[in-house]
Amino acid sequence: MPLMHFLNSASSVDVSSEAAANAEVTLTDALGYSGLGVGIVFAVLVVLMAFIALMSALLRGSDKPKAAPAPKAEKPAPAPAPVSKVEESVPVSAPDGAMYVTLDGKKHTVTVVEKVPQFTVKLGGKVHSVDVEPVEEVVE
Amino acid sequence: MNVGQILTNLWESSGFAALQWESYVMIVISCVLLYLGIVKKFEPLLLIGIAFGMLISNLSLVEGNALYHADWWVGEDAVANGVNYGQVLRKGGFVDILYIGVKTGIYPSLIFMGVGAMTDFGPMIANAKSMLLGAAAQVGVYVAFFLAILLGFSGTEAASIGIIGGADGPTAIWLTKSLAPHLLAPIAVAAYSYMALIPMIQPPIMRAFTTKKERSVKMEQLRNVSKAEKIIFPIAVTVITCLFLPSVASLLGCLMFGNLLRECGVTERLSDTVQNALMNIVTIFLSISVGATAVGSSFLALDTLKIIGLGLMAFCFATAGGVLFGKVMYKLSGGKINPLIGSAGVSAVPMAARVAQLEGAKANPSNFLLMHAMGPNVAGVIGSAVAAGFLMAVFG
Repeated sequence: MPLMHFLNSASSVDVSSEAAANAEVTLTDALGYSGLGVGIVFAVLVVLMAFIALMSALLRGSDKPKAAPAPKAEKPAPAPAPVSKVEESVPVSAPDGAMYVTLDGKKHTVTVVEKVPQFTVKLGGKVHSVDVEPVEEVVE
Repeated sequence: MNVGQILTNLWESSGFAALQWESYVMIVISCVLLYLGIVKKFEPLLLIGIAFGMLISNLSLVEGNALYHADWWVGEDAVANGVNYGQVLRKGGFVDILYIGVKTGIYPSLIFMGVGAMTDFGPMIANAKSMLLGAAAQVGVYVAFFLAILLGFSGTEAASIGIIGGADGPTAIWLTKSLAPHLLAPIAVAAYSYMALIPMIQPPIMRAFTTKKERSVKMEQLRNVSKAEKIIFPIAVTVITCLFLPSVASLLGCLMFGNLLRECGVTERLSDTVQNALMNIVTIFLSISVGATAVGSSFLALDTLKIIGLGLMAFCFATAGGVLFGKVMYKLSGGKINPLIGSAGVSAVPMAARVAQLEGAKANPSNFLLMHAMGPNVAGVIGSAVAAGFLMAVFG
């Protein structure tokens, strides 16, 4: 085995299988084997440790996030139409797209412009935001 | 019809006639081990099988009906000319047939496959330095080897005894079945018994070599390990270790194959089988056949007591080696590494890591060392296999 030949030449201990298995192991030999054994375990695990460090560095290097694109300038949201004095009122039964609101005691027909995110209606050519709340009774 | 003669023949063919005083002692020992496994829950998955194998082999010693024939495996003829497998298959008992898996090294390798499939190598990959702790704890193997030589054991026997310090049952069996098969029973019993006793053996040593300040160190959270790293690692370890030490290819190859099945993400069925069904089946076969080798006439010897004593020394030195190297890393890291995790380098996954966690939590209740200790723990499995591979290469 290449490793054993290397160890034989690099140390004074004969670590070939035949020599070790058949010969009586002296305390000096035992010390030599022990030292070599610890050295081999450390050597193999240090090689593995170095491999892990290299692998992690390479993989983490390739996983680095690419430069983020410049953030797009957000379109300014259209400014909501100024809310006139539309009394917060109630939707009543009406054909889709039309409803009534009471304003200063008078009932007006309005057209629904938008339901989400803000309920908006058109009244007299102007767009108004309306807070919708559930009601118990329908006002006619 | 001679009723007396018939009764005499019946008596002579019964198990009672073959019982000797050693058999009674072994039956008592097997009952004690069964008690420890069932009541005290000491490594029950293995100890109960070992104890039961010990029980049945010492009850069935009648020629022609024996479950296990020690002479066929470790007798002079077997040592000189090799095992006669034809005889084993034609005339062998139940345990003889099972024992083929031990003798050929199949069971330890399959157990390693299961261990690999059940173990997350992530903590070790996340903290690669922890591999050094797994290496340092193998000092116990070589100290026990040296002491065994000092006590008069041969090189092959001392190597088999030393590997008990690896705290890894399959590795100990794998090495011993080749180098010193006649010592397989006491070495296996010692290895598994001490593994079960790790929660009692390690803490006093851990406390003796560390200060409360060192035990209280809280370690930084480990980084996340990518799936690619977890897949590449077992393949690379197989390549590196098999090139360095081909003798250990079966053990580490199976360990890494099991881990690859777990991590690759496309073999869930195989991983599940290896972790559960295969592991359980092999554990049953291994434990019964190893236990059955503990026949009174060979087990009850002075050498067994020496082996049990040396095994304890091996565990103690392995723990001390890991903790002392942990102290070195504590100093070098500026107090960032808790030296207690070094004790987990003795292998014995995951019990040794749990012991490190418990001791760390005793010193500092907010301490959580388990995942940090799993790094050296897994490195210890690899380290003990490498240590066994070296001894096999030298003495095999």
